[in-house]
Amino acid sequence: MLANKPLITLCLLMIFGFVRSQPKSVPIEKDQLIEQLTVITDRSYYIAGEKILFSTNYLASSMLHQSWSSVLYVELIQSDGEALTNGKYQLNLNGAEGSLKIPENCLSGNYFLKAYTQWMRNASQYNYAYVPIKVVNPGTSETYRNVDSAKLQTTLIASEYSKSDNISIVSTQQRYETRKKVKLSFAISQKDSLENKLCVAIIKKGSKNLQNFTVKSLPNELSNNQAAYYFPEFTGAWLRGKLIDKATNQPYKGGLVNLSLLSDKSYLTGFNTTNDGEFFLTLPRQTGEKEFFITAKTNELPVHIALEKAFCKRPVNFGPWPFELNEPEKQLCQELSLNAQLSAKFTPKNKTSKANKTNAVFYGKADVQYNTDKYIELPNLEEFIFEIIPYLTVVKRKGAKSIQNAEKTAFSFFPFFLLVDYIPVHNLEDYLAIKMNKIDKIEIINGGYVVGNLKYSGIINIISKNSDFAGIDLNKNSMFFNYQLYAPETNLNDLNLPKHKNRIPDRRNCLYWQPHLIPNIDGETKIEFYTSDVKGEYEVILYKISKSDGSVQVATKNFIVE
Amino acid sequence: MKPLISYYTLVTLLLCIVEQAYPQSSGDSLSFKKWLTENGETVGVLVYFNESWISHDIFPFQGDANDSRSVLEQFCKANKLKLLSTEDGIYIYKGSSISTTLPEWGTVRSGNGNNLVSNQNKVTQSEQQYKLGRIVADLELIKVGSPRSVNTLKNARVRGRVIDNDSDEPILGATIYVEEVEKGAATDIDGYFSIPLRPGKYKTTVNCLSMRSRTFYLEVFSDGDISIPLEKELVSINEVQVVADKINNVAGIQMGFERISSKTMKEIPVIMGEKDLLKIAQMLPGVQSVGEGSAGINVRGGSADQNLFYINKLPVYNTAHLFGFFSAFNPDIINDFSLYKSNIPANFGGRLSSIFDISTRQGNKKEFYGKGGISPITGHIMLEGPLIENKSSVVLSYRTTYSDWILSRLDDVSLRESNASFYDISGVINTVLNKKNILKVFYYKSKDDFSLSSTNDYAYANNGTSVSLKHFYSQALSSDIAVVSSNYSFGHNNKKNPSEAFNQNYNLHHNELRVDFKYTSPSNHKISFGGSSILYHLNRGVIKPFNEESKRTIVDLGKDKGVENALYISDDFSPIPRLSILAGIRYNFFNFLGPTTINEYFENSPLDENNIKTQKELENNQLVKSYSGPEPRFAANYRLGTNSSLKTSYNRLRQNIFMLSNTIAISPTDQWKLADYHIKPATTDQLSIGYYYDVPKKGLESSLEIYQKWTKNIAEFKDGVDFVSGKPPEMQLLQGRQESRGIELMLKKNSGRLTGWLSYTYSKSTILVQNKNLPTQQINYGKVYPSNYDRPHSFNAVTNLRYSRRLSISANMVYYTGRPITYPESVYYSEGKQTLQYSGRNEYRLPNYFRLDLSINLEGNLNRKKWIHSYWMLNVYNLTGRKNAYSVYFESNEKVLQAYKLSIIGAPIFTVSWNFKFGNYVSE
Repeated sequence: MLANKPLITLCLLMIFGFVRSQPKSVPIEKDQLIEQLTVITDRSYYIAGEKILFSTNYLASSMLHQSWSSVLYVELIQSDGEALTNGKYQLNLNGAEGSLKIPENCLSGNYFLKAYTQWMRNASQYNYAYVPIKVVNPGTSETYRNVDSAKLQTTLIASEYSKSDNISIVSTQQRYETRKKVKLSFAISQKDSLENKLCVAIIKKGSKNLQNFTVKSLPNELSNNQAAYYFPEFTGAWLRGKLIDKATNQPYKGGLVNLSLLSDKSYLTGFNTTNDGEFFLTLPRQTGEKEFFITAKTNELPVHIALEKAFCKRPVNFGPWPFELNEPEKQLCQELSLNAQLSAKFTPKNKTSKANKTNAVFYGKADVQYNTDKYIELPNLEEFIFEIIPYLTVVKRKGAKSIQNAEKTAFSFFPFFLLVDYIPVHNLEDYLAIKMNKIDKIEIINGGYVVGNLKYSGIINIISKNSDFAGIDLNKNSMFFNYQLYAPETNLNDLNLPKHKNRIPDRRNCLYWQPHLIPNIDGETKIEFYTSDVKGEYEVILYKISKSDGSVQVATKNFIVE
Repeated sequence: MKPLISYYTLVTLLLCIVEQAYPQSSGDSLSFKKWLTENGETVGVLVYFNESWISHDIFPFQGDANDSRSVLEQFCKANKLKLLSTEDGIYIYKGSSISTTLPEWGTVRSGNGNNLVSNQNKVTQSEQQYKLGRIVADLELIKVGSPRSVNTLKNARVRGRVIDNDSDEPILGATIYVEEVEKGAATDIDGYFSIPLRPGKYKTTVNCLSMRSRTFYLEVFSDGDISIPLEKELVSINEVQVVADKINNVAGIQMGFERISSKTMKEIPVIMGEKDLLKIAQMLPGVQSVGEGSAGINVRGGSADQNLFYINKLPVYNTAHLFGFFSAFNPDIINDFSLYKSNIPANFGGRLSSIFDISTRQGNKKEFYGKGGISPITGHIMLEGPLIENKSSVVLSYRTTYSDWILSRLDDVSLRESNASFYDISGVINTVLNKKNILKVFYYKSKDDFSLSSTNDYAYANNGTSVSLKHFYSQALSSDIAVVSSNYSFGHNNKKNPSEAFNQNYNLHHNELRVDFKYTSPSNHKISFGGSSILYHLNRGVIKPFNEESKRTIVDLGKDKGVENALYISDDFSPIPRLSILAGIRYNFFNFLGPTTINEYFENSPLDENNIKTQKELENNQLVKSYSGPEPRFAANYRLGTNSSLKTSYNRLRQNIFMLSNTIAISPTDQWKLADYHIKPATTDQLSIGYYYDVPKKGLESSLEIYQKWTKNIAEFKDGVDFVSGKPPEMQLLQGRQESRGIELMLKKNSGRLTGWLSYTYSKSTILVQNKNLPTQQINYGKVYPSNYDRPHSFNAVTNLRYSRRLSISANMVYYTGRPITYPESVYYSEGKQTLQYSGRNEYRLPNYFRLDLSINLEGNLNRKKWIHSYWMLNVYNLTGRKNAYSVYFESNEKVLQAYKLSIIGAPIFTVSWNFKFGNYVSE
């Protein structure tokens, strides 16, 4: 623990931009800062539109007890490095688990799952984890092939996973009927349990190549002395960006940036930009694509808000890697394809989880709420405040207006944080001129409020009737944008324990997936799963990933469904 | 993996088995699911499908009931489903086809197309909303007329009606402005306006204070009607309202014209606990109250009887309650009033100085509404609502006094020991008979009773009804026919001296028929024409002894009868862009009719008892004397710029009825009298010039008007006359010339936190009664003297400060030069008798008048949903407690003649009144 303290300090310094201004003064010990990822997927063959299930082992050298990065970035890329889809996942010392849906229109071809952290971006992109997969699209005869040979190419070297001898998979039967519950147990020693991350997949035999892949060479490796630009996200994902003065194209220092989550009202954060005009806004721990509003207070100076790309765009190229299937592969893929198509037909589509929309507001329950319906229609907000809200007054001094709080608190000297439909507004004149007929209600927090390191006398939030921000002129230095937060969580119960309905076919291509098997201490770990309607030979694969070096061992067992 | 068996082979196989299992399928109604469980499973091949896809589940089907292949195919066809057979089962599915084999891979592509980028740059949902919220709503399009009858060579007449959306009440004085042609119009009392426009599309704006203005496109095809409902709007307190009003102070043709509406002035100053619009009128330039606690007003140096008060076309001959502390109109029902003092439109006539045209509320046609209030002096209530929804409405009002509270606070001992009561009631029924006719019925009654410290009892009443029918002949022509009957009467018991005690009952009937036409020509000439006929019956009453003690002899003061007819025509037009002209003429015929007895006097001799040559008796309806004459009216407005204009007007007016009064105020015993054989009608010529200037950004309006009036045949009374003595009036008065001139300055602020006006008037009013042949028939030795109401300097300030919507403070200040008075200058004794030597007439003046009033208006809360809203008004009348002189009188005290100043109110009077209205703060 003690050893890590200087590093944490270092990182904190880096966040506030000191390191970059004095890059050479604090040498970074590269060995201490290396993160390593091992990625296991449930299969090696997928049908377009299917989900890739994966499990990641996380390894941080000399920081074993401290999770350095807490966000895992996973992309599905073509062999020329172009991403088809991507996702962010919560990462901890046990690694990360999740799934990534292959786009329906993905051409048949060889693709790679690419996994990394922001911290890893400081080193070469070839240090990331790459897992090759084959995707088959039954709907088109076109295939993908990398024709971009001009770029630097590298190859992956495959090696068979070694068999784990000290793990045995015990099943009661060799053969099972369709749609039957199956019980399996794993005999795992206590030592193995502690030193490894375990992961189980039960799939059609042959649909997973038990191979480990490593990048042949590490071109373009970053030097020891190069200063870190990407900071470890130890508290969750950040939105990083920069304010750039539109007139001079120089970074804008000392601006205030606020980020509001619009999809629900539970989140708002703020940051005072660094000397480089940079800001780091913590993103909410939510999943899916969310709508945000970002606004910069810059004393009316027009700035450009440049958002850093969360995913690494640095090129990788694995060469042509032509798409070919041999006869057994073809047969397997044909079957997987039919299963996938049938599963897709019979899976209810509108099962989008919108349930996680909270009614909570980031400032909690308002101290006072005014429903404007209750009062006569006054012309504008300023008059409403004057006539109806007893403790607020609009004071005009030297031509500049301010809202003052008559209730004296420790915060009354600070300004009010002004919001319209939960987003910050900086122009008080415009704010006060909002027409009351556009306002549904006004919520007030009166006893002081703190956003980041900024103190406010309180919050005045105007909730418009049509969620149209009451027609106010929003700050020119602001924008609306959709942003991908963490990928949706994968429901393992849905995967592993299907509810068998009489006339709905069960055509799962993966009967069981446990990305992080937590073994029993007594040595015998039991699992349960169901066979599907698909007959044939299946394979139970237990992956044992070393927590000390990331090496993978496997134990397998086959059974037949009749 | 085995190759999949082809679709047809399998289906055929299955269907054969099914047929076997159900050889005699009946074709009865059967559910597909049931059919499957009974057939499908026997084959050992499962049929998979999702029940929710099935919309047509019922058998039988077309064709052979036993053909099970057909069953499945028909089922799929009916439900728009597809069929797939594999060795594991039969799948019924929806949507795109499932391919059971892998494609033959051929073509190669180098990219998948970037899904990630396109998604990020799209407009987010909230941004969409934000943009929507900022879109300025497209202007509404209102079409007039029929597209089939377009004639682009000729102006189409657009008639519109502006109403209050909440109550359907017509809005008076709303302005309509058509941007492209710079034409405007203003609505009349029934909310109507008419405007000629070439067929086309125009951007049109309708404005009215305290209503939300509306701008729309008016697409004109041919003659037609539009209705424009407006919604109420609260104007920001701080904001100076810049109304794109092209018919305003500057642009309007009217000069010497004031309009005050209860709608446009929410916070009008309070006097004696009531928002009395007539009292407010006295704060306007050129208008002066005759005195404290007195009825009557003087307009531009004219006497009190030179003003005509119309309320809904009904003339009111006595407009005072309680010695003039209150006007006879319940402020709750007054909607609007216009005061014409220099340019009097040709449709009005009959008085020399001014016309007060008061209109009442027309009544809510949608729901019931009411308001009222109580103060230590009065209580008043007004109720209105629909009789037939959206068609007919009624307004009822009642006001009364219930305490002698104010009298007990007066300085005057005789007043303090008096008691008084009054009431007034009124009713309005307003009915839209159909698209072309509106019928209005108005009834009004006011009554006052008071006894003055047991020396005098007075009672007087106004009573009247007006019925008017407005008819539209076309979009351009309308008429208004009104039948009016008004009655004024008073009774007087004089008990001051028991031996002289008498009583008198006076009665005046005014019956009138008037017809007014309005026509808007295609070239936008607004022509008004019409006529009126008034039949006067005046019974001046009989002086009778009050009781047996009285030695009074009975005197019949006589009756007057006369008919006054008038015809008029006027045109309001704009010959060149910046100039508008209102030119008209009114011709007045007056016939004095019998029965009456007239005295013929010797020529060139004073009209007195000694010079009567003969007496002539005239029969009923016999023409005694007839007077007639034209009354030209002209006004012009030249706009110097957008914010300033120069106006001028010339008017002649005739007055055939006047008041026998030897006081300057209107007292209950003043008798109206018609011009007769001897007394000629008075005529006046008035010329005025005015400069109008507005500062719209500050909400300021200013005006300067100069006027000069020449009046002929003004009746002046000889010294010491007594109108109950029975002497014929011609013996008691002399007719002379009056000249008035003055300057009126006005600065007005209509919006913002501080509203109100400042007005200053300089005026001179002199009278010359000269008769070189008969020096005794002169007043003031034939020299010019100031009239009774000559008050050169007058300054009024009306200010209203709105602290908030709930609290406003208003202050009024009144200052004017004291009125002229004739003083006894010396006393001499001849033969032991004291004789007073008086000064020249009106040689002296009373001390100057000054008064400051303050009122605080405290409104209830601003909640929206209330059934009653109440507010308090705290008022101080005469805040400084100044003892303003009403008159100066002389009494000899132990042979020393002492002058005493009489002041009516010499101390501040505090009143608190509580008022209410249905609805909330915004309700009217």
